[in-house]
Formats: sequence, C-alpha cells, structure tokens
Amino acid sequence: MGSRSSWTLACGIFLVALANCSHPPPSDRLIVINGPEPESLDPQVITGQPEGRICKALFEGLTAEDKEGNVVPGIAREWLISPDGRIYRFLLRESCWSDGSPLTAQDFVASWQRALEPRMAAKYADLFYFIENAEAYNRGHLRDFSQVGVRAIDSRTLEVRLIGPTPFFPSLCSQSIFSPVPLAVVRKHGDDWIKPGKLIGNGPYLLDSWQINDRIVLRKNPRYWREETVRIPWIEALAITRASAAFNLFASGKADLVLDKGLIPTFFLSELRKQPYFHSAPFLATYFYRINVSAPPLNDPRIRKALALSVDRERLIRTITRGGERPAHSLTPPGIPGYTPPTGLGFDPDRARTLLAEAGFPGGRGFPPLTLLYNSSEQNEQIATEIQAIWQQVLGISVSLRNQEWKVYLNSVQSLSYQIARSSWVGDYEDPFTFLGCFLRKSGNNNTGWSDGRYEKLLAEATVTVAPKERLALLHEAEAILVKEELPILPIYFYSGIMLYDEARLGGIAANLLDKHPFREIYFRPRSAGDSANP
Amino acid sequence: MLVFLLRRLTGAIPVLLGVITITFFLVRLAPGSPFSGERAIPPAILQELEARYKLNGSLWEQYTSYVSDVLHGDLRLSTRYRNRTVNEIIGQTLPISLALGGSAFALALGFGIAAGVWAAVRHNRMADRLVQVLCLGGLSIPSFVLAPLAVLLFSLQWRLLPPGGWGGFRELLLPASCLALPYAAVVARLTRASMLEILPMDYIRTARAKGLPSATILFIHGLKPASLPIVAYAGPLAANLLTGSLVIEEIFGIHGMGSFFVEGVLSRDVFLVAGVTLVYSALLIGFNLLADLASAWLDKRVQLS
Repeated sequence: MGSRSSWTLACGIFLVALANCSHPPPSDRLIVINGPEPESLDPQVITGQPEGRICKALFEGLTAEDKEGNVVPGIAREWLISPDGRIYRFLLRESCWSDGSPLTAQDFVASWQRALEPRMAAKYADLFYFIENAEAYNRGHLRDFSQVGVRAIDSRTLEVRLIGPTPFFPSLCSQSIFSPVPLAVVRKHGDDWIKPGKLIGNGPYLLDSWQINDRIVLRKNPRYWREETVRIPWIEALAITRASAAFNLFASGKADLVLDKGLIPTFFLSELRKQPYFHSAPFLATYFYRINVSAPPLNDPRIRKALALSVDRERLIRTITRGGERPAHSLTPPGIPGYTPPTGLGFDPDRARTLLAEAGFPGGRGFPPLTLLYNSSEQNEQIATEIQAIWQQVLGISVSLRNQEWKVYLNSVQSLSYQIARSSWVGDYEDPFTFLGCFLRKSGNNNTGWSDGRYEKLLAEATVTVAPKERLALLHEAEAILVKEELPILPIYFYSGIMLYDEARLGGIAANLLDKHPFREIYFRPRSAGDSANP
Repeated sequence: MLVFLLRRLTGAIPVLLGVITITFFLVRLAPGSPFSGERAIPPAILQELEARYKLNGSLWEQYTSYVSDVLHGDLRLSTRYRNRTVNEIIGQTLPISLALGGSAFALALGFGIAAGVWAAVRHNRMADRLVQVLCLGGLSIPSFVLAPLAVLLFSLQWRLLPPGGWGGFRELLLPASCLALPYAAVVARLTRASMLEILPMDYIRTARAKGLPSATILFIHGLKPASLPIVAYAGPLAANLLTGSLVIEEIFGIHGMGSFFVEGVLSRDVFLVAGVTLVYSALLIGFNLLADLASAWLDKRVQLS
C-alpha cells in the first residue's frame, strides 16, 4: 500500500473535493476532529494533545488559558507572589465539582499528591519538580508529603513553595496534570473513574458518553463557575487518525473543526493552503537533528558546525514541509514574550567546507560514512534524503539512511545507538527553559551524550535569578552555546499549528504559540442576512 | 457428528495457546518498550509502570502469569489505553467489525452467486463477458483505491451517502460494498466455473427432459451441488472479511477492532495484540468448522471424521 500511483490518484480526488466544501448552519453541537483515540482521560496520566483538549474541558486547574494562549485565572481568582518569587499564594474562588460538592484548596493538595505518588507513574510528573521536595517524593526518596512545598492554609488558600523563582509557574498550573481530581470517585471506582456516569469534573463540560475509537460526547456543565460564558451546549470529539478520513468529513460538512495538524493531508498542502478555511500559525515546537557526540568523528564541534552550515533550511521548507513552517537556527522557537532566541548558524557552504578541512577532512576525504536515523514517516524520509544529498554535494560526506519504526527508534535514540537522529520537541509552557532544560547533563531527554560546564552553570544561575530580564539574558547566553558553539543538535524548522474551520461560521478560535484552543471559548457566529440558506 | 465437534473443539485449544504464546513472545522480544515515549521516564516510574501491568520479573514469569489470567477470562489492562481492559476494548469494537464484516459477507455471497449463475447460464454471451470483466475489475482494484473513489463520487460529488462514520444503514452501505466487491468477484468466478461443470451433466439433462421448471433445475439441482466450493471458500472468506476490514475501517473512520491490532503492535501493547489475535484466531477456527459442517450438510458424500 502507499504506492506513488495511489497517492497521485488520491491527490486528484482531493483537488476535486476542494471545490465542493460547504457548511451547514450553526447548531448546538460542535463536531471536532480530535486526532487519535484518547489513551486515558485521567488528567494526571495523559501525555498527548488529543487527551489534553478533552481533559481541559472536563477539569480546570488554578489557572486556565484563553483562546490566545494567555494564562488567565481559573479556579484561583488571583495569586500573590513573594518578593523572592518563590512562594505563591493562590486565592481560590467559590466553585464546586459537577456533583455540587465544594472544591477546596485541600482538593488541590490531595490531587497533586496523587500526581506525585510514585505508584501513579505519571509521565509528566517532572513538571512538579519546580516545587520544593516534589522530585524527592516522586522518586520515592521522601515518604512524608507534608514536606513537599504545597499546603492548604484554609479551604480557599493554597500556598506553594518553589525551589527557585519560576516566572512560568502560573502557566504550569494550567496544565492538565495540575488539575484537581475527585479523589472520592477515584477511590470508589479505581480505573473506571474516568468513564461516563462516574466521572465528576469541575470544568466547562461533562463527559456524556465515550465510545472507543469513535467519539467522546461532552455536554455543558451547568455548575461550572463561569457557565454563562460557555456558548456551545454539546461537543462531539471524533477519534480519527487518517488525514483523508478527517478531510472527507470536514469537506462534506460532517465536522466543523479539524484540530490536529497530523490530520491534514500533506500531499496536497500547496492547494489546501489557498483555501479560506485553512489556518496555520507558529507553534512552539522544533524539528531538529540530534547528534551523538560521544564518538568520533562527531565529537568534534567543527564537524557538527560544518553539518549545520551546509543545510539550506529555506529550501527544505519550500519544497518539502510546505505548511507555513519557519527555518530554525535556534532550539527555542521565536515568539516567547521577552525572549529573542540567538541566531545560530545559517546557510554558509564555504565556511562549512573550511571547518571540515580544519577538522582534518578537506573535501570530505577520509571522512567515515555517517548514518542518519529517523522514525518511519514520509516527511522524515523526504527531509533525510534531501539532507543526505546536501551533505554529499557540499561536504563530500557520504551518509546512509536508516529508518526505524517509532518504538525501535526511541530505543536507539535513548540508548545512544545512533550517529545523527531526527528529533522534535514541543514546548510545554511559554518559556525557553522548556527547551533548554532538555540538554542539561542529568536530563533524561538529552540523548546526545553532550554536556558543558558553562551551559549547566548558566541554567543553574537562571533558575535562581528573580529579575525576568536578567534571567532571560542568562538563558539566551546558554542557548547561544548550544546553537552557535557546540551544536549537539542541528535545528531544522519550527513547526506550525494547522487547523481547518470556516471562520465565517466559527468564532472564539485564535492562533497561539501553544496551539491550545479551549472549547469553552468557541461559538457559532450568527448567520448574516446575506448568506444563502442552502446547506 | 458429536465426536467430530468435540474433537475439533479440543483440537482448537492447543492452537489458541500456541497463538497466544507466539504473539506474547514476539511482541515482548521486539525492540522498544510499551512505556517509552518522546519524553524520558525516570527509572523509578518505569518500574512502577512495569509492576502495574505485571511486566516485571523474568519473561517466563510474565508469560505464565499472563496465560493463567487468560485462562480465567482476563485479557488484562491495555498498556496504551491506560484505563481500559482488553476485554472492554474488544467488547465494544468487535460487534462493529462483525456487523461490517457480516454485511460484506452477505453482499459478497449474494451478488457473487447471482452474477456467477447468470454468467454460467449465458455462457459465452454478452452477460458472461460482462460479468467476467467486472470480476477482473473487482479483483484488481485494491480497496484503498476503490474506497476513496466511492467517497468522492457518492459523498463529496453527489452527496448521496455519508463519507464515514457509523450508525445506520446509510453509513454501512459504502464501506460494506467496498469491502465486499473483491470477494464478490471471487465468489462469482467460483460459482460460474462450478455451474459450468454441473449444467452439462446427465441428471440436469434428465431434469430438463422431464419438464421441471428451469428455476428449480437451476437453483435446486444445479446450485446446491455447485455451491460446495463456495461453502469451502466461505469459511476463510468470513475470516478475511473480519480481519481484512482494517483499511476500510480506517478510510471510513469506523471504530472497529482492526485498528487496535495495528495500534497495539506499534505501541508494543502486548496484551491488546495478544487479545485481538486470540479473538481473530478463535473466529477463524469457528468459521472453518462451520464451513465443514455446511459442506457435510450439502453433500452427503462428505464424511465428518
């Protein structure tokens, strides 16, 4: 399957379909194509975006995001920060669970304890590690939770003590893993607590039904604290993984909104981009190559620089990705307020050749063949093939390609059994630390064998610096080491978030860096008088 | 008959056990862990996960404890869909795959037999040629080409039928037809060939000579013996339609069991893969048994032994 001819045929089919898109009138039901079947709806267990979108509708943390991705008050109506930036005091509003019982600060303490419980094995538990003793508790070194920096002063006041000033802490609090969970229900039903009829939440929507691999139906929560601002009574989130199935449903008016960028048929992106319902926006995620620096010849930074300098990212984006991506010369994508990432190495083939000659391989003579590893996907393969050709032409280096199925690839990368490997990273919050923290020596996400004393020191200094400007300057300096001097990674492009929806029909959706689009803000625009009545 | 049934059913037990064993070890020995992801997991958390899903200890211990759970009817928790048991996933999705496969089965047999009989009766005439050409087309157009074409024409162009989803007869029509077409072609060719062998036989000529209505000759005296190869084919056909519906399920966004098979393998969800494989194997054994029983009922010369 997947032969060229079938793709060509499919392209032809979609081009005809493009002309036929039309949409039904507003309704009380929003049909969203949400991506793969959610692996769970337990906010403290989930890891993916499709799960996250549903969980955000079912649970609300201390803070929330608005449609532009800004952090806004959620269950906390306001928060006070100590002068050293280390103690946060959240003042909770009066709100309740969907069964009517009050939501208290104690609920948050107990829920955060559950998330950190080693037995929960929550994969995102490290987001709590900014809190005092949270890491020790999560790793089982500390048994007494009262020593972790979270306590309820009274039923409406929650105090959090952090290791260092963490200016993005309010943004972390909007993440699903920081949501309160109804512990009585969890205890009563065990693994089944997230099933319809049992789940109790505190978010804008309630779980009405959940048919495996088909759809999740959400209905408005009448007890949500700002219930009057939620305008769509019903939401159906369809589990669809195939881009063409998603597009067919959208094109025939059976779905209102396609949210997952994995659900956009890439082979006719250039045509799709011209359509009024195509929306693309910068996304806080980077596509890069990881370099294993633990063995020659790639342990020489000059060679790593030469590899980076010879790649023309603009051309890759123009000819291969075509979804509005931007060329990457840094690890952190631009757009984080107050932070301009350093400009790393651009396209300079002459300098690349000079560096390679300095490293002892003039014209690539005597350079051992390299292997480039990627996880099987059409686009990864196209990019790898292009880069293989570039390195051969510009540097005279021969590269062989190796593709591995996802889990095998992860195994190879995490055990450093590769030379150069395709990678990507999605920012969890709007701060450079979400990217730069990966390349600390002890980070489990480093996977390059690289470490640098100056880099460690700068990041450590940044974590204790209160003044935001100085803190970001330190991070900037650290990133410059990463992308200008050392290059254990080779940034290629910054992703874009892509959505399909008719702007004349749906409102409350805006482009934002984290690609978060809360359901509670979405609404159907009233039909204007000039519209035709035909569906 | 009863002895035959008992023997076949007891014979199925070691087969199913073998299926579970092979699947379990293949998935467990494949590189990659069910818990790995783009983000690293601290070793302590990995240990907790392995303990929760009983994937700690030696491979042999994991295997024996799993087999003992399966014998108690517990297919365990899926490692990917963290709050779901494999029993629950199969329970919700198998009926959908069965409904889709069953409709396609009926369509394949219905259209296939009708077309085959028609072609045999009009041997070497226009109708015969037409059926032959259609069969060739049905056999050679793969479903991943046929299904998008059908969606384009019937859903996006003429807006007659929905392009996907599940629920009623309208949603079922396109996917079931696309799934059935290649098999209908095989059935039609089998029927035609079989009927062409039967129709010139002496007892058919006798039946005509004594003036029996031609419908009786065709369907009672002709089709019944001619259907033996079709019945033999129906067992594997039913199994094929159930296991082969994956592509169709994906194209039409139908939430059947097929996708979990692939998803399970890709995410190294050993219990999901083993559970789904077990169900598929049981169905395959069951349908083959039914086909044997049907053959014996149709042709008294077939001995059930």
